[in-house]
Amino acid sequence: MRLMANLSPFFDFNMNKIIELKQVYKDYPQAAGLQTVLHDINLDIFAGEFVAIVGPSGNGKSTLLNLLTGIDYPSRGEVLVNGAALHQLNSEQLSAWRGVNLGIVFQFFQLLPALSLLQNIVLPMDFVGKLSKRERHDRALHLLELVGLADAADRLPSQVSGGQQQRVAIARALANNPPLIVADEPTGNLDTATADAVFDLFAHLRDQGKTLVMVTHNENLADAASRKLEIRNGRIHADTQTVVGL
Amino acid sequence: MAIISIAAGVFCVGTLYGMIALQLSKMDAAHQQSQPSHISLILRQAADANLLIQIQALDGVEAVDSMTPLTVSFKANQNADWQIATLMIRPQPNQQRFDKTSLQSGSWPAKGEVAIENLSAAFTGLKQGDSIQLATDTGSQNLQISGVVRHPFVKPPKFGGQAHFFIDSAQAQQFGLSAQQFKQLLVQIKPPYDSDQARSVAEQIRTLLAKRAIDVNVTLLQDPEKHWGRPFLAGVNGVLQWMALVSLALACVLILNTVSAHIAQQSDQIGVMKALGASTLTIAQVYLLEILLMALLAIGLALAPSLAAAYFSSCKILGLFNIACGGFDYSPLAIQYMLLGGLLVPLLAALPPIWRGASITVREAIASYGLGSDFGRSRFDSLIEAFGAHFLPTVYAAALGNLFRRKGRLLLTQSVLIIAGVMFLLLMSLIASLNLTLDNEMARSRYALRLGFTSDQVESKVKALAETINGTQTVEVWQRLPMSLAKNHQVLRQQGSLGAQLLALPVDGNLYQPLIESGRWLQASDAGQKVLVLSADTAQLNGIEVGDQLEMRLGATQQTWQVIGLYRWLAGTNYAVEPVYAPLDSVRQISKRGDLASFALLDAPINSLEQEGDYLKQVKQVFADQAIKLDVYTTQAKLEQRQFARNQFQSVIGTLLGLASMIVAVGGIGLSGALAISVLQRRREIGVLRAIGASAAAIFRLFLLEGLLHGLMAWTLSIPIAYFAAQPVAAELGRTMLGIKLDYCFNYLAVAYWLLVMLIMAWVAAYWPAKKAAGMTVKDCLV
Repeated sequence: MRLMANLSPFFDFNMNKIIELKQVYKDYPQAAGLQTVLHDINLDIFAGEFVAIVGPSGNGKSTLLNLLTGIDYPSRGEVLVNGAALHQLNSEQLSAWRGVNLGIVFQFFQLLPALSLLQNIVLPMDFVGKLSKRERHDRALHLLELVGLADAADRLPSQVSGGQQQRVAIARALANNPPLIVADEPTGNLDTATADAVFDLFAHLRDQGKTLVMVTHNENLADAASRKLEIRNGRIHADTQTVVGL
Repeated sequence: MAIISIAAGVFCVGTLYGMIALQLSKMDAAHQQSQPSHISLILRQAADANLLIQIQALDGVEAVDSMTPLTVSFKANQNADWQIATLMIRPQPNQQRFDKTSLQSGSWPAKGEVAIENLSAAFTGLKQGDSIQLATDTGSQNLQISGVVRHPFVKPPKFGGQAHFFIDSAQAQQFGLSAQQFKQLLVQIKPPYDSDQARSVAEQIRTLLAKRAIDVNVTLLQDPEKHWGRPFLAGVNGVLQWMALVSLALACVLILNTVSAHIAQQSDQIGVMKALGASTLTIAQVYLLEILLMALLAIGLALAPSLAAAYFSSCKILGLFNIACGGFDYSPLAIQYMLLGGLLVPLLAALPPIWRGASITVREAIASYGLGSDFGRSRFDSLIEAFGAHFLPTVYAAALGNLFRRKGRLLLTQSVLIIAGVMFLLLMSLIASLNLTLDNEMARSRYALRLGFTSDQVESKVKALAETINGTQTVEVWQRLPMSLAKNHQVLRQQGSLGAQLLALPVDGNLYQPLIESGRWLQASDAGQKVLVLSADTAQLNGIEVGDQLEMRLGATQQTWQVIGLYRWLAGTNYAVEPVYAPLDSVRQISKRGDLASFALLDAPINSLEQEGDYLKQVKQVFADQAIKLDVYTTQAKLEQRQFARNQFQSVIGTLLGLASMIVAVGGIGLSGALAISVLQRRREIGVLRAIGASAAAIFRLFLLEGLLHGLMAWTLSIPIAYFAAQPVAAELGRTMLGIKLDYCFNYLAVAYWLLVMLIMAWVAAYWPAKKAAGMTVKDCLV
C-alpha cells in the first residue's frame, strides 16, 4: 500500500479494465530517419483475460509488451495499467509499480544464478517488503509446490533443467500475487514436453482468474488464450475472442 | 583505458629503473673520477711526511697521499652563532693524488683566504667574496672565501653533515701545523682492488703507526669502483624497483579487466567472424594485434616523459651527493625494460581473455541467453549459497554469491587486495618493530647524557665537574681506544664501515648495556680480566663464537682476549665505528694511560626534551668554563638522540607508507575495474532485477555490497598471511633498508586500521560501478 500511495497520477479506472492503451505510437530513430514501430494502438484488456499476442517477428509484439510492462515509454499516447499511467512514471516509480502489480516471465528464465530456486522467489517479495521473513519463505515454498519444484527449493538454477527454471520463473512472477502476469515467449526456449508443463501452469493461472498477457509463437499456447491479438506492421491486425481450448 | 594503464605502467618502469641506473652510473663515474683512496685513516696525532715514505714502502701499497681535517668553529658574521665545521688542509687540486677535490668557481685559497665546499655553500648561503671568522686552537682569524670546491666525500648537510672549508697546505702553519704534517692518510693498494687485501694493508699501516705512537681514530675502506653513497640508496632503490613492478602489475590487472570487457562486448562480432569461417587463432591474432598496437602507442606516449622524469629525479638525488648532473642523459637499460615490459606484459595479460573470447562457439557468441550458469557447478558454490540463504537477507545473499561467480576475476582482484593488505600489515608491523627496537635500546641506555671529549680527560676531574651540575645523580666514565682484532693472525672484517674501536667501561657500571644475543655482558668478576663483548654481526662475519680467543693489538701491545658475549649493533647502514666492549680496569692495566676518560655518562631525572636541553646547556657551560671541549659527534642527549633516530627512520617509514598507499590504490583500481566490468557483464541481470521490482537503491546496495564483501574477504585472508609472513619479512626489510636486526612485534592495531582502510577503499572503489548499475533502466538492460 505504501508503494501504491507513492504512485501518481492515478486515473479513474474501470474495475474490469486492467490495461488501456490510447493512441499509442512508438518511434525509433534510425539513420534513415524516424521509424515508427507501433502505429496508433488502442487497446483495452480486462481483468481475468488471457491474451496471446502473436504475429511475425519484427512487427512490434515485443515493443508492445515493453510498453505494457513499463520497460519502455511510448513516443505518443497513454499507457494505463492497473490504475497507473505508466507513460508518466519515472524509472524508479515504474520499478516499484512492477514489484506490486506485475509478474514478468522471460524467454530465457532469467533466474539469478547465485540464488537458490527458493531465494529467487523470495527476492521480489524482499523488494516489495510486504510480508515478514517467515511469510516470504513460506509463500515461496508454496509457489514452488505449485510449480512442482518444492523438493528442489535449495538447488541453484544451474542445477536444474531449462523447463524447471521456467517454472520457477513463473513462480517468481507470482511472488507478490500481482493482478497481471506478462510473459515474453515463455516456451520459446523449451522442448515440446517441457513446454507442455509450462503450458499447464498458465492454464492453471488463467483458471484462477489472473490476467495473462503473453507474446508467443506457440500456437497451442495462443489457442489456449481467451483472446488473440495479431500484430502486423506495428498495428493490431486482428483482435479475436477465442473459445478456450485448454 | 587500456592505453593509459599500459602507459602508466611503462612510465613507472622507465622512470624508476632509469632513475636508479642513471643515479648509480653517475655516482660511480664521479667516484672513479675523484681517484678514491682504497684506505683512509684518520689519525689522532699529526704525522710527518717521512712516514709517508715508510708507508709507501709497505708490501701491497701502490701509492699514498695525505691531508689534514681539523675541527674548527666559524661565524658567518659578527652577530651569528659559532658553528662547528671541518677545515680541510690540502694542496691545490692538481697536486692531490686521491679523493681529489675540484674547483667549481673562484680560485684555490691563497694566504688569508678559505674555500667553501659546494654543498656547504648551498646549505649556509655563503659564497665567493664573503668573509667568515674561523676559530681554531691557535686563535681566531677573518678569512675571505676565494672559491667553491667540490669534495667527493662529505656527508650532505641534509643528512646531518657539517660545513667544510679548505685552505692550502702552504697555509697550515696559521693553524698550528707545518706544511709537512698531516692527520689523514690516503692509500691505494696494488691493483686489482680486493677488500681483504685492503684490510690487510690497513692493518700493516696501523701497526707501523702504533710503533710511532700514532693512534688511528677511524679506518675507512672503500671500493674504487662503487660510490660510497650506494648503501644509503640500496634500500630505497630496492623499494622503488618494487614500486615499478607493482605498477606493472596494476597495468596487468587493468588490461585484463579492460580486455575482458572488450571481448565480452564484441562476442557478437566474434560469432559472426566464426560463422564466416575465421579460426580461433585468426580471431586471437586480430585482438592480440590490437593489443600490440595499443602497447606500442602506450610506449610512445610514456617514453619521452619517463626519460625526462628519470633524468630530473636522478639529478635531484645526485645533487644530495654533491654530484653534478651534466647534460641530458638516459639509461638504455631502462628503455629496454620499458619495451620489454610495455609489450610483453600487456600481451601476456590480454592473452587469457582473448583466447577465451576467441574460443567461444558461434552458438554461444550470437545466442542471447539468460543470466548465465556460471555459478553452482561446484560444492563450494552450493555452500556459499546455503550460507547466504541461512544467514543473510536475499539481496545480500545474492551479493555474496555474485562474488564467487567469476572465480578467475575474483582470484585476481583478491590477490591484489590481499597483497595490499599483507603489505600494509607488514609495513605497519615493521614500523612498530622499529619503534620497539628504539624503545628497547633507549631502555637499555639508562643515562641522560653521553659526553664525548675531543681529547681524553682526567676521570676525577670529569666526575667532579659533572657532580657539580644540578640534577646529576650518577656519573660513569668510559675510555675509547683504537685497536685491531685478529683471529688466528687474520685481521677481522668488521660490519662497521669505519672499523672498530675499543670502549672500555667499568664492570660495575649500569648506565648502558647493549642487547646481548649470546654469551653474557660484563660483570664485576671480569675486572682485570682480558674479556670482551663483540658485535654479533662481526662475529658472524668472521666465524667467531662465544669463548673464542682473539688477538687484540692495543697500541704496540698484542694480547689474547676471550669473547664472552655477542651484542646486537644498531648502527645499520650509517657510517659508524663499531664498539668492542671490555672492562675498563683491564684496558687501563695494558694501555697504561692512567685514569683518562673519553666519555662520561651522566644520569639525571629528565622527562622531556626541554629539560634535557636545559641540562645539556648547563653541562656544556661547566665543561666549557674548564676549557674541556665536547666532541660534536659523540656527545649525545638520550631523548634528542631518540628523536634523531626516529627522524632518520621517518624517511624510510614515509617511503614504506607511500608504497602501502600505492598498493592500496592499486587494489582499489583493480576492484573498481572488476566491479565496473561486472556491471557491464550483468546488464541483463540488472534489467531483470529492475523488472521484478528492484529499486535503484537496491541495485546500488547490491553492487556496493559486493565491493565491501571483496574488501572484507581480502581483509580476513590477509590477516593470517601477514601474521606468519610479517616476522621474516620485517627482519629482511630491516636488514635491507636499515641494515639492522629488529625487535619484532606484530601490530595488532594495524589489523583494525586495515579493516577501516579496506572498507573505505572498497566503498570508494564500488561507488561508481554501483552508481552506474543503479542508473540503468530495464530498457537499457533488456531491450
